[in-house]
Amino acid sequence: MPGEAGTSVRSNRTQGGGNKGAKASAFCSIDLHRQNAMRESWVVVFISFRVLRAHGSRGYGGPSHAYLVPRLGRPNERYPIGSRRALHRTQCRPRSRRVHYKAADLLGRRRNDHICYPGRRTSVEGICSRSAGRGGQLRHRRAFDQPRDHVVHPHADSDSRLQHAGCPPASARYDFWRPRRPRGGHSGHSPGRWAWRRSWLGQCADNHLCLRRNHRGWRFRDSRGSLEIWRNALQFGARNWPSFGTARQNHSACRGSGVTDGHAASCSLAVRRPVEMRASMLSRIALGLAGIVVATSMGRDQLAPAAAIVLAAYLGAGEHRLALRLATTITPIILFSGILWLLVDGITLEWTIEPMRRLIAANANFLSLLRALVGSSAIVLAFATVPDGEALVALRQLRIPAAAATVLAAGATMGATVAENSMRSITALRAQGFLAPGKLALLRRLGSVAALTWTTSLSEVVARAEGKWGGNGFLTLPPPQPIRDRPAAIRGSCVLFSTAVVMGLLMAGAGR
Amino acid sequence: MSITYHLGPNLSGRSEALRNVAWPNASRPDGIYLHPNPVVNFSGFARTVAGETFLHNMAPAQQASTNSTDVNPVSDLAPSQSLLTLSGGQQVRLVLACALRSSRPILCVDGLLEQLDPLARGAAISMLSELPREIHIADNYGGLVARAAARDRLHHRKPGIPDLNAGLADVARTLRGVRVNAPDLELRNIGFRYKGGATVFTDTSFVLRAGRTYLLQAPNGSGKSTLARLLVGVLRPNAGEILVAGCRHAPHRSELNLIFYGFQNHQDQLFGRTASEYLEKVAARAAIRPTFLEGSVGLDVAALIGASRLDHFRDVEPFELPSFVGKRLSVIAALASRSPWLFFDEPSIGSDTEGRSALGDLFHRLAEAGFGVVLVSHGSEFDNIPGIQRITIRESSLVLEGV
Repeated sequence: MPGEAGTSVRSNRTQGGGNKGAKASAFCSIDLHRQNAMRESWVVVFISFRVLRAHGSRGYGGPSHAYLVPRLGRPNERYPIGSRRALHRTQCRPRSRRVHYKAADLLGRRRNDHICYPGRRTSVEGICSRSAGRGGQLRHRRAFDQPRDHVVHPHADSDSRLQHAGCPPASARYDFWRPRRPRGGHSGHSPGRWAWRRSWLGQCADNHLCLRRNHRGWRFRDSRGSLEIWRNALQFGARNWPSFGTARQNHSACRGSGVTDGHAASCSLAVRRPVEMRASMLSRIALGLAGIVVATSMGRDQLAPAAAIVLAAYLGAGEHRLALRLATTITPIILFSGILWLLVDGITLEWTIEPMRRLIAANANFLSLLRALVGSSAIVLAFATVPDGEALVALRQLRIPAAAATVLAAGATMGATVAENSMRSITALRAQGFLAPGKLALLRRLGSVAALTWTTSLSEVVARAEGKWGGNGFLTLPPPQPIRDRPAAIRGSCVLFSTAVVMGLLMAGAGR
Repeated sequence: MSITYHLGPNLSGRSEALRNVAWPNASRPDGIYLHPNPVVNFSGFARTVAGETFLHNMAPAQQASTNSTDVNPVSDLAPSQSLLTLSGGQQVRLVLACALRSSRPILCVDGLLEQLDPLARGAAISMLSELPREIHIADNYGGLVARAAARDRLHHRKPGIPDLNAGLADVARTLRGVRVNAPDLELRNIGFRYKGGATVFTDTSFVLRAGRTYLLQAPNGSGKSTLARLLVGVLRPNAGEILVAGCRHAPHRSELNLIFYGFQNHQDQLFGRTASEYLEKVAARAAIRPTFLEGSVGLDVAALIGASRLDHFRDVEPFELPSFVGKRLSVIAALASRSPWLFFDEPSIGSDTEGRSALGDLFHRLAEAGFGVVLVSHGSEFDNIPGIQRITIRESSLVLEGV
């Protein structure tokens, strides 16, 4: 069932009869979450708009079946349900606990550790996936399972919510909350099921539209929310993109707006932790090749499709993060360069259309610059953004010889070292009077800073090469490990092949 | 298993001896040699503590000894902490932790332990002594630590190698008649915090009097280098002000020559094609730079090189100098800088006992001549300087020790 992934632990019986696909996905496996979110993203937005229009801004769900569907925003005054009764009805806690016990026994952990949230080892090592064997089967975490660092359990993430079970009081409802599914007899086109569905989709709409709720349950636009979503996306990667339906979990649910207990802090920390990026190595090769081709391609005609193919390759390989970073990195540079170019040409050629023509003319210098920027950015991004400590391993997995892998990995890491050395160089030059305060002075003495940075870095690298890599034999690395992520490898190889074909065609066209 | 201390004066070939022990056979090294500069011992492939340890756990040949000891010298470091933000002592501990992952039977530690504070140094040595390996340590503090079941190996300086310690004493002697006038320095309600990082100083007020020698002793990572950067003007305090001779002064906006900062790692400081060219550039710049200092040392570069007996290394590139010589050059440069306040970060690293004594004498002479001197050290080599004042950083504040 769409939307069920990424929620709390639930047993099969909790879901009611009829819908076999709705069997629980315990421990929020991210692969399911991603698949479901991708499948439903457009549908959710569409339906939720209808819901919003039909019911104004006061909440979700119609008046009927309110006793079965505790609505967000408005407490059910007609048929108030006490927390004990709600607990009995939903049986969320005991049944989820039962599943948890199963997981705990399987993993050899304590049973009372039922509050699972990111950062806890219990929440990342066991997976109860509906795609594993029979639905809901528990299994150990495998190597290719995506880490689920950022997934928040909205329903079972704190003691207070567990107490409220399926019917949290109004004061607790302005956070992401999963409505209780109606019990038996409400399947198919049952109004109760639709009410439940509307309520659920309404929350998804909230998630997508960056809406939050006040204490009455009224929605309001969170101005910081959308910015934060994109900041998270930039920082933590594609899995936190809003289109994957985790936006609310990424920001609102963890900002302490509704949750005031200690969990908010821990949750926030867990969410903001940079997630490990497990990119397919072959897709990286594809991106690198694409970048090289872009950098070397000639003329205006090939540039646009090549750049488009680079971006398409990124997106096709699931590397949204890289694509976004590529775009955000080079777009300002390109724009700034273009404006500067126009300005210079405008001064010399007067303010006519001519500078613009010259700017985008075939074999124009600006296009060369553009090519260099796009190409080098793509190459650097493809090879230099592997997570910490994995650069060397990743290159070795690509069967790249040890020496070449070392050079590439060292080059990738060298950037940070040079940055730090440049800071030290600035301090040294400043302390010895060679650098005046201010950015302009720094610009003037850029040569000195660069020279000192270069020599410091060089000396460090030479000493390291002699001692660490040479004498201590740090280069003695294990043989390349097999790539375990088969689907990603296949996907990457497809991208690689198609990119190579397209690039070959493009280059052939350029040759003609 | 056993610890061998390599004792001897500077330039007596201790580092070479350690390398020969660790790498007797070029094709198949038997041991691990740890360079005195901790950064050099990092792999260069990782950005964080976790990444570095991950890489050192990776090699199958090195997994065997992972459980050889339960001691983890970096247990207090956050795995996600960047290597670039580690203090000197933390870097050393990480280097040791990575070296412990190795299964090589020999471990040679060249001068690294000097950069640890006494507590950490003692813990590191006791940890090393429990390892079932052959440990070789070249440590100028070797005589100061408890060395049960340790062996000593003496090294002697080869003929023809100049005695730089005697040169330092000569420089100190030339300062006897020198009299300069440096202003007092006052920190008033200084607060500083790195962006997204921990608070380093909170409402810190302290007066540093010229003509005195201050010994700043504080644990690794407490903010010693940050203090220097604040005074140099690379960092800007979040709150408070700095007063020089009673007048407000903003180092981050001013070009006036106030502080000379001698780096812990001399390679961050030296530049130029040769050692003499570096000193000439410093002196030439100081000559045209407005300074708070009244009076001068009166030594030109040639006299400075001659007095410090650095002639032997005059035409050597700064980055090819032996560590000890480079460190000494970075200290000597302070005399050419015409700075009223001299801030030396671990100036005695790599110096033998005589060298530390000579350095202490030089700093005392500088203070007597009227300079303000701040020394950062973890050892007790400067305890004998007359009138030295110990300061420390406690609870994000600079305080006089014992107060």
